[in-house]
Amino acid sequence: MSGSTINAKIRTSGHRPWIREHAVSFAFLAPAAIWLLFIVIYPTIDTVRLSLFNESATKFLGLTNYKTVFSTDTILTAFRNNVIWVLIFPFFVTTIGLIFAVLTERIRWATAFKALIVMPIVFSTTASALVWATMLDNSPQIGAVNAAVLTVSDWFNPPGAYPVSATAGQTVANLVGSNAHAEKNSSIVSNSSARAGGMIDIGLEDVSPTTLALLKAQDAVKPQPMSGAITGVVWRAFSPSDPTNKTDILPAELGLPILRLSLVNPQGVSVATTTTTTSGQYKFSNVGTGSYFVELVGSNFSSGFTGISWLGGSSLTPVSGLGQTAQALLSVPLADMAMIITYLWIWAGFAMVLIGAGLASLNREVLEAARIDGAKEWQVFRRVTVPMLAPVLAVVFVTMIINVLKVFDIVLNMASGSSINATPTLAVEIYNDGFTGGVHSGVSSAIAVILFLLVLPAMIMNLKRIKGV
Amino acid sequence: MLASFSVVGVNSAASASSSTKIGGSVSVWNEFSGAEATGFATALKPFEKETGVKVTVRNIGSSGPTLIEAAVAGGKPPNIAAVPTPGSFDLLAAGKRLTPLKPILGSEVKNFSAGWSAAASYKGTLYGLWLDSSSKNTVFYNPAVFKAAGITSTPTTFEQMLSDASTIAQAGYTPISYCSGTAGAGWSATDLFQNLFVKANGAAAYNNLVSGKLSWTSSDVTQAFADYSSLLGTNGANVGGISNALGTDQLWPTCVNNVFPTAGAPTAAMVIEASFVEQTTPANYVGSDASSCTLTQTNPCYDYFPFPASSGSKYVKDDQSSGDVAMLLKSTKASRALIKYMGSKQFATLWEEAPGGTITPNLSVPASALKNPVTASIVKNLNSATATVFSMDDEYGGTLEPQMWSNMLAWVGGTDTTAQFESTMQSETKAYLAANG
Repeated sequence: MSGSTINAKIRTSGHRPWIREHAVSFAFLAPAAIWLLFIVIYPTIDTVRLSLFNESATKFLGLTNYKTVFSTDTILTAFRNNVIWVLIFPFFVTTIGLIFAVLTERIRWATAFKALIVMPIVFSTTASALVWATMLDNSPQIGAVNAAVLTVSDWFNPPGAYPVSATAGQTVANLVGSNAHAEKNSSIVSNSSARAGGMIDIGLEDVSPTTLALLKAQDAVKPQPMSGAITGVVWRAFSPSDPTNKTDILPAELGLPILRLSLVNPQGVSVATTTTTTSGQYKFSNVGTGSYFVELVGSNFSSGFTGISWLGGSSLTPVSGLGQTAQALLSVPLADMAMIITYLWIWAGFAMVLIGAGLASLNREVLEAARIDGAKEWQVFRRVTVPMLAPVLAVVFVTMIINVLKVFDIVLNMASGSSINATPTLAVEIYNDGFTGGVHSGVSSAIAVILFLLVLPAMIMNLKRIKGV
Repeated sequence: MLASFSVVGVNSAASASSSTKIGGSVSVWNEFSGAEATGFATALKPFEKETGVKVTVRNIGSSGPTLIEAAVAGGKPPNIAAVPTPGSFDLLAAGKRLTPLKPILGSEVKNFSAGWSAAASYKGTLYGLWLDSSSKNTVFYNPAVFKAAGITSTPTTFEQMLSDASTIAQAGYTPISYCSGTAGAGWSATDLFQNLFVKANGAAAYNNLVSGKLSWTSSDVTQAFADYSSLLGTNGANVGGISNALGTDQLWPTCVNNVFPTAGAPTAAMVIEASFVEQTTPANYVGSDASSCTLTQTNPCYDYFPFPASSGSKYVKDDQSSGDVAMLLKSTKASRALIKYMGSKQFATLWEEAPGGTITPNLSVPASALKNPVTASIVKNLNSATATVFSMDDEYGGTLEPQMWSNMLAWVGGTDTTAQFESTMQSETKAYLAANG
């Protein structure tokens, strides 16, 4: 199309040669063109050349590096991650941008709201990544997101006084010191039974001294037997002076406070409950006939909510029963999702501004006409606004495809130790292969060339779109 | 050809030492930052003053080997470069890019033990000079926690260490604070495997594993992984759970703070790391008497014990270390004089004494000169090792280093079994050695 315009111009300008007519334009363009030649064209061509050579660029290898790219697990993982990013991110950023753009037209303080939404673009991506990595930290004590989840979770599933966490490699069985055993329901039950007037003592170990300091635990004291009652002490059966002695209550061994206890009959039915004192003592009064066991109920050891590992190694696997490689390629790391959400936070404002500009230039009369014809607001939005905005939406969508195909800094800075191998995108893989731990330019360049080819259609589409707008 | 080189070298070295004002400048590339960099600069000052040579130091960050290899390939290397990676040292030596140092160093050669000199040599020729060193044969522990767990003496065998770990767990502390390293780099996980392997099989077998003469699928490797598993404990109980150990909470230096907190009580007892743990701990050393150490003191006590070998192992004193080796890439009168100076007692003493100083393998500095008794003890151990090996990941330049890290993390995290790790490592090592000779 542009070619035919130029031809038309040459024809109308008559005898003067085309090149001389544009000499001034060329003179002005030349510095920029030469500059581009050095910083864009030359590196591009050289990257293609390097992708065909060995590591030190001394031996021609043909397409070997490309074969390596498609047969290396880590690089295939990077392809998968790029696909995940492209499938999810552009759609959501455009949708969210559209919602914000439409809503900001209708609210007070729209400018302030817009400024807030746009602000993340101003921040360095690395800074944003680090802030979000902290917000998404495993530990509710550090990560704001897990802290919020914890607040809600504590209403339904409060932690016990002596939490035992599987993620910390602990089981309730670890706690048993003497005269007890762990049950399947995470409770601990005494080995010995007693009748009214008898005593049952239970020793526990693996109890954190920090926990006991918080609970103001005092030295364990064995209570006196009482007629009609079952009494005893639950204590921390660990003494530095005699670490292997679990059965005797040694000096300075602490009682375990606020443990919830149940008195259970031999059939396993709970008949009474009580709580230990600061020195670990308990008393079940008015015990009936028969023998009973003492149970430390499971809720004492519930760890409650210990935090979701947003940036950890877990993944959402949509299918099962596949081969290992297929399984790996089809799973979606949770950390990818966390990064995508961070990236949405950064780019939603940009999408909003572009779409907002499109919205402002819409012909309002069409919208008014639709309303007068009786269309509801949703119908106006769905049938009129969105179709009329389609060219702008397409530009945002395609720009974001390009943007996420080369996503790099957010992934590099947010991946944790356990997700570092699951989350790299192609751009990160280029860096890992080419710039960490030695020069490995061949494979790295090959990935770069492939990435370029992937971005190319989106770029062409975008250039055409921009012309069309 | 090398012989003729040395003759020329002797003459020039002699003339360098006889004239005092040499002038000119020398470029030095290294990876020192923070206190290391200041200490290094302090130690260079007398040389600059005496010879009139201006030393320009450039910090090339952790991608040093890449930059140096690229600069050498591009024909514009610095005069002197120091790297912590024996792997890239070997690559450069094999490529005949380095100047032999024996004739240049002259009498300073005697300042280094045979083990360290061998580690700075390629095919029998000395090409490198160790500027600093760090023992990876160290387990740092909090004496107050050991006391609270009733442990009165540090373990001398691996078995003893495991049983101590279970006692510490019974006392309610995490036995080992596991460092997964900075953001996913698995060097820490790798170091631990290497300690286990070298202590069980010796330096010779270790170097065979590095050079591909011993297969990764051998039973010795499998046994080292079995030991690694028992050290981690069931479900990672000894390290506070596998997922916690690999999580962001356990990044350097938080993993050190769990044992040596600046505020609050410690939650863990030991941290297995290189001697640079000391740089992150403002702790007090208490010598052999831990009785005055408390769990709540602001500057916690710290001490170390050498990484123990299994009882009956013949390689108790085969140690894993690391260090920065200086190489002469562009030989000039000034750069020859500088590298000779860097091998001297004066340089080593000044750097060791500088604030946040380093540990030097230079034997002319007596360990007793060190003010910190822990450091002195580490130096003593470092120099009394029967054999010194280097971290495998450092021995491997190029892509194998990050590959080994991610393989190791996948194994620790339970994604890969020992057999999977071994076969992956074997094929990757084979490919790496084929590509790099």
